[in-house]
Amino acid sequence: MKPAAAPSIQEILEPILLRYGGRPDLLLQILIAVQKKLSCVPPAAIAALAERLAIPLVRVQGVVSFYAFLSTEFQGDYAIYLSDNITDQMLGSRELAAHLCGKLGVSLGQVRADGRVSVRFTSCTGMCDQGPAGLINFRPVTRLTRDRMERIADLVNARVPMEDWPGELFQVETAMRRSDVVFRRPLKPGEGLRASLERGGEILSTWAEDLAPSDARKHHLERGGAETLKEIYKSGLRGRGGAGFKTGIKWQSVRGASDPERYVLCNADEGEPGTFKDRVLLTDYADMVFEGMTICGHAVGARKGILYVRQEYAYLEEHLEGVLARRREAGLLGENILDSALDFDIGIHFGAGAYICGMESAMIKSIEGRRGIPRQRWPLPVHHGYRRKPTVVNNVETFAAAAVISARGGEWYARNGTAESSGTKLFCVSGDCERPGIYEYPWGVTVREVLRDCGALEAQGVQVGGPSGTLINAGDFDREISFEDLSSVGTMMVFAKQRDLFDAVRNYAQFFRHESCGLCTSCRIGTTLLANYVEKFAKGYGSPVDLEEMQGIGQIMKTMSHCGLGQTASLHISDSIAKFPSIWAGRMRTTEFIPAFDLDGALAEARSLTGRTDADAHLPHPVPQEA
Amino acid sequence: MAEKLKVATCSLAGCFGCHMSLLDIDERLVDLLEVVAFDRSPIDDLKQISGPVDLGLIEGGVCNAENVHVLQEFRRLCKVLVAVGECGITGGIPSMRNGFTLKECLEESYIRGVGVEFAHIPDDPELPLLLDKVRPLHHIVKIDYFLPGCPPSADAFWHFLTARMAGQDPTLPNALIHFD
Amino acid sequence: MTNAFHLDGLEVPFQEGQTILQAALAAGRYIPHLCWHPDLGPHGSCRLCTVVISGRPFSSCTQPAMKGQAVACRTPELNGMRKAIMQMLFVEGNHHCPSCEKSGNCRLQATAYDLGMQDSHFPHQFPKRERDMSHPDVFLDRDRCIRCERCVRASRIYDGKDVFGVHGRGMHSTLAVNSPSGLLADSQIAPEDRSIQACPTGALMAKRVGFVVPIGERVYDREPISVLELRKYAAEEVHHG
Repeated sequence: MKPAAAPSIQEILEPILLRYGGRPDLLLQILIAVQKKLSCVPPAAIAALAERLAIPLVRVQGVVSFYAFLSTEFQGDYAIYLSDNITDQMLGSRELAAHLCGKLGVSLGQVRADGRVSVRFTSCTGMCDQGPAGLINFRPVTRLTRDRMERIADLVNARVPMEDWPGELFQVETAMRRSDVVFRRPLKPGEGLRASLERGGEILSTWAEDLAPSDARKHHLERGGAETLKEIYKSGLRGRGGAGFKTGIKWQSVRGASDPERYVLCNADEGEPGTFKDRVLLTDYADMVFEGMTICGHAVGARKGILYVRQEYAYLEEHLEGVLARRREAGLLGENILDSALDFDIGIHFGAGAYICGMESAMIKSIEGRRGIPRQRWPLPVHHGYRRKPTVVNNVETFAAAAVISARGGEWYARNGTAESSGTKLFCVSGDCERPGIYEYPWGVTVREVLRDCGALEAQGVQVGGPSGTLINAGDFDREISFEDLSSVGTMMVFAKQRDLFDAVRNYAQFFRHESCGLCTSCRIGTTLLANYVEKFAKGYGSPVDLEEMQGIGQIMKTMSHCGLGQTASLHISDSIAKFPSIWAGRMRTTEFIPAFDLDGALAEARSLTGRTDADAHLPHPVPQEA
Repeated sequence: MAEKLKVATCSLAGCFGCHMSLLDIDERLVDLLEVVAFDRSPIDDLKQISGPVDLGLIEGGVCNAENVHVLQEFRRLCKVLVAVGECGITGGIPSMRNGFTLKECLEESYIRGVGVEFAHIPDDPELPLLLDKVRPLHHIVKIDYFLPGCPPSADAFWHFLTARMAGQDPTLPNALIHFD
Repeated sequence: MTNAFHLDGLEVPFQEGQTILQAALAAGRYIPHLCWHPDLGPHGSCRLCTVVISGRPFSSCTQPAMKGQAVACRTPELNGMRKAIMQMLFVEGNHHCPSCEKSGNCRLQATAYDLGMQDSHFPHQFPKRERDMSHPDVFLDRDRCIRCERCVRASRIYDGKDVFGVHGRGMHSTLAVNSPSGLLADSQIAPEDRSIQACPTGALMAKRVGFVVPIGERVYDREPISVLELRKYAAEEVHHG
C-alpha cells in the first residue's frame, strides 16, 4: 500500500539540505541521509543535488558509486548486510545467510520482487567477538543463529517497523576481557584536559603588569599546550592505527605550522577485518577519545576536531552526540574550555562503506565529501590536510592514550611496554578461542600469552593485525607484539587446528579485490588477479606455476602500489605460502600448468545452442577429477 | 652436419597472416631450410605432427574444441612452444566476440544476420564446437616464448629463429616489437 | 653549488620544487610514465615511474627531488616490474592494437615497446565495457581506458568543462561523462579539447582522423617514445630558456 501522494524528491531533499546547510563539502553526509531515507539515492536525487550544491553531476555520481552503502538502486524497505569476515564465516554465516534468504524468499544480492527486502554480504562490520553479525537498515545485529534469522525473517515479512523490533537483536557487547594500567583506572571526564591546561601555570597577576589579560590567557594556553606536547614526546606514544608514527612529531609539525587554521581528525574508520577496539572505545570510553582530541587541539592550536566514524558504527551517533553535548555543558568543549582561552569543538562525520577511507589521506577526501581516493604522498596532511590546512590525523586509540598521558604524565606511560613501543595496546581477539573480545596488554606481550588468556589452546595460526598484517604459525607464537617485532593494529584472528586456512586466504583475497579503490594499476589489477588465482586453487586447477605467479604479483603490488592497501594486500598470499604451504600443495593435482577454467564447461553454451551431445562436443579435463 | 631443428607450425583462430609473414623472410628461407626441417605446418601441408619436435610456432588464439586439442598436442610434443602474433598472444581480433555471448554471436551470424537464408545454427558433428570465449594460448597451456605483431615482421621471425638456433636469448630488440 | 641527486649513479641537477621525474627529464634521463603530463601535473596512479630511494619505493612524479639522494630507477628489477605493470594494463582492458586507430600514436603501446613487452603474460580479463559513439565528432572506447585521468584533469584545468569523472571503484571503476544522459553527445566536449589530446591511449579520440597517417608511419613507428620524449623536453627547455 503506497501513501496517496509520495513526497517529491525536492520535498525529501529540503530538510536534509537544511540540516547540512547546503554545504557541498558535506555531500557524503547528505547522500547518506538520502540513502537512509529512501533506501537508495535515485538518479533524480543525484541530479537535484548536483544542481543545488553546484557540483558537476559526474562527481556526485562518482561519490555514490564509490561507497558500498550508497546505491542508485532501491535496496528494499529492509536492507540487510551480513558481515563477511572470515570469523563470521567460521561461525556459520554463509549457511545462515542461505537460511535467511530461504525464509525471506529472496536471492542473495537481489531485492525481493515486492521491494521489501534485500540481503547481501558486506566487509567485516566490526562485531567479530559476537558474530555472525550484520546490519539491518544500518543497525547492528549480532550473534546470529538460525533461530534469530527466522525471527528476523518473520519481522520483515510481517513488516514490523524497525523501532518495534526486540532490542535484544541489537545487543552489542563491549566489556573488556582484560585491562591493564590504562583501562584498569579509566579517566574521569576532564581529568586529562585539566592537567593539560594546568601545565600553563596560574594566569599570574604579575603577568598582567606587562600583558593585557587576554594576552596572559593566550600565553597560559600556549605554555600549557607546549608542556603537554612535551609529555606526549616523553611518553614515546606511537600511532595506534597501524603505521606507528610518533605522535609527538606529528603534533609538533602542526603546532609549528605558520597557518593558524588547523584541524584535529580522529580516524574511527575501523575497517581492518577482525578489528573492533574503536567501537568499544567509542561506546564505553568516548569521553577519553574526545578528551584526547581536545588536548591535541590545545597542544597544536586547533579549534576544530572531526571524528570520522565508519557507517557500520553509525548506530553510535546518538550516544556520541550525547557525550559531546554533555561535554559542552560541562565546559569541556566549546568556547573557553574550563575557563581557559581554549576554544575547541568536535563534529562527527560518517563513512559509507569503504575500507580505503581508513587511509588518512583518503579519509580527508571522504570528510570533504569526495571519493575516498588516497592523495599523493606530498604534501603531508600535517602541512596540507583537511581543507588544505595543517591537520593531525590520529586513531581513536591514540587519542585515548593521549588523554591518559596528559593526566598521568609521559614518563608514567613510557614505563609500560618496550623500548620502541611504549604504553599499552588494545587487542581485538576473535576466531577460535573461548573468550573473544578486547584485551589490554603492555606492548611486548607474546602471542602465546594472548592465546593462553583468551582460551585458544588448539591454535595452528593467527592473523596478526588483520588481513593486511601478518599470518603466523605456531613457530611464531613466542614472538612479541611490538613495533620492534610483530607490529599490529591489535587484531588477532585465531585459527584452530581443524580449520583450513585456505578459507581465510580466500576471504582476504576477495576482501582486497572488493576494497581496492582503483586508483593505482598494481593494486587495482593485482588484487583481482590474485583473487582469481586463489579461485583457481579453490577449483583444484592450481599448479606450482600459478603459485610462483602469485608471488610475483604480490611482489609487484608491494613495491609499486600507491598506498598501504595495495602494499599489504598480497601479504596474506606470501605469508600463507611460507607458513602454511600445505593449504596450497594439498590443492594441486598437477605439476603442469592447466587452464583456470573448466574446458568442457566452456563448451556448454555451444552444446545447448546446437543441441549436440556427441563425443566431440566435449573436452576432457586435463587432470583426472576426483569422483 | 648437425641434425636439423625440427619445427612444427599451425594456425588456430588466426588468419594465416603470421605464416605469410614467415614466408616474407624471402631468400633467407633457403638458409633457414638448411638448418630447419618442418614437421606439421601449412607450409608443407603436413596435417599431423609426426612426433616430438624442437620448436612449435602457433598462430591464432583458441576459439573451439579442435583448437584446444591441437594446442595440447603441440604442448605435448614441442620442446619449446611459441605463441606467434597478436591473436595467439592476446586472442586478437577474434576475441572481440568476447564482448558478446556466444548466443548473440551465432544468432547474428546464422539467424538474424543480413542475407541469412536457411536460418539455422550449424550443428553438424563435423564442425568443431565453439568455446564461450576466444582465449589466448597462454590461458590453456604454458607458453615459452611470445613473438608479437600483427603479423610479426619477417625480421622478427628471422631474429627469433636465428637466435634460437644459435642457442642465444631470442628476446626481440625493442625496434622489432610491434603489436600492429 | 647546484642542487643535484644521483639517478642510477649519474648526477642529475634540479631546481627547488622539481620532482625527480621532472628533473630527470630535463636532464635528458628518461623515466617511463603514463599518467603524468607536464601540463597536468602528477597523478601517481600508473606507477610506472616508481623509483627506489634508500630501499623504499616512491613514484618519481610526486616525489620532490632532494639534494644528494641516491635514486635507483632503471634497474633490472624495477624495469621488470614496469613491464608487468604494462602487462596488467593490457589484460585489464581490451586492447586490440591491430584494429585501433591510435596504434603507432599510442603512448600505452609505445611505452610497452620501450619496456620490451612481448606478451601480456597475465590472464586477460575480457571485461565488458560501454562504448560511447553518440557524439558526431568524438568517441569514447572504454575498452582502451587505463584510468590515468589525464582527460579528467585536462578537461577541468584547460577546457574548463569538467566533462569527465570516474565512477565505481577497484576493477569496476570506469571513466564517466558529465552529462544528463551520461553520453558524450549531451556533454560539452568538442573535438579540439585538450582532454582528447591528453588521452595516452585510443580511448578518447576525434572521429574521422584515425587513419589520416598510415600505420607504419606514425609517431612511435618512427622513434621510440623514450627518445622522442627527451627530444621534446630538450626543445622545451631551450624554448623556455
